[in-house]
Amino acid sequence: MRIKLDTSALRESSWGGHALRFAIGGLVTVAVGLFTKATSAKAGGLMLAIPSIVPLGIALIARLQNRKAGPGARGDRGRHAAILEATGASCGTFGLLAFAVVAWQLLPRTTPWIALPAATVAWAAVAAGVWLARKSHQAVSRA
Amino acid sequence: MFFMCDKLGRAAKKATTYTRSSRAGNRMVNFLTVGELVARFFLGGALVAIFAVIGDLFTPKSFAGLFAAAPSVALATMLLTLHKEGASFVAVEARSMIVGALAFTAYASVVAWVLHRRRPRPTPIAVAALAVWGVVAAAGWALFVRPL
Repeated sequence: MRIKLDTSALRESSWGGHALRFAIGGLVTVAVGLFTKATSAKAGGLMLAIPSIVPLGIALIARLQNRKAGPGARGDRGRHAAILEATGASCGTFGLLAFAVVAWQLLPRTTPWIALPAATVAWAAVAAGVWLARKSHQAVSRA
Repeated sequence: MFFMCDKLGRAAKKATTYTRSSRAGNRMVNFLTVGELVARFFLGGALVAIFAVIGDLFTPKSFAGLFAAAPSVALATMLLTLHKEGASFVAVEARSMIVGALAFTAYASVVAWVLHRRRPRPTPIAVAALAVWGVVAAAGWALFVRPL
């Protein structure tokens, strides 16, 4: 299966959904900052990988797909879309792991302006790599 | 983007409106100015929204799901914390984040598995499974992070 850019999905998504993501993302970032100040860097670090936006993403994608399918589908299309979202997120978490390791190792050694972009590149590379490995494993299993 | 974050961080530093209510309140927001809280809100919100829009652009949808686990909150927090606390403080946070990320893997796997096997409504499962993240993160904290 090929990875493609599809701008039509942007027309389907609502401004309300983006605004909700913005608000929740902002509130979680504030909460993480306050939690770190109230506790310690060690405890606050755990919260940097909180799945804050996943439930909202799943709710939005399930609602959109169910609306497309109509009432006869009994929510199957939305559930399938939610499974794909959660499966993708589980691959992405390995990227998050790589992000944390690279940031931990590079921050004391180089400037943050090298360490954080490098960690972000590590996230993208590992997440995409795990996703591709999973897809090719599925293809081999089916054959 | 990193240049923009630098500007935001400096703006937060300049703002000196401290909360002066109770002693406990002062302890809580000891170094977090109102300006810094606003900067955190806008930077965190913007990064979450940007990663979500990028995710919307990709097909297949399972690939787009990768962006649900983007390091948006982590990047926003680290960028703003670097200005106040320095790189060694953020490195400690990043080390603890490894355990948080493992808990996130458990959370996402449980959500995908339950939706696949049991066919429930997706949203309540995605919310309820946050408890899995909490339990795994707490166990990881007790076993690996706290003794360090």
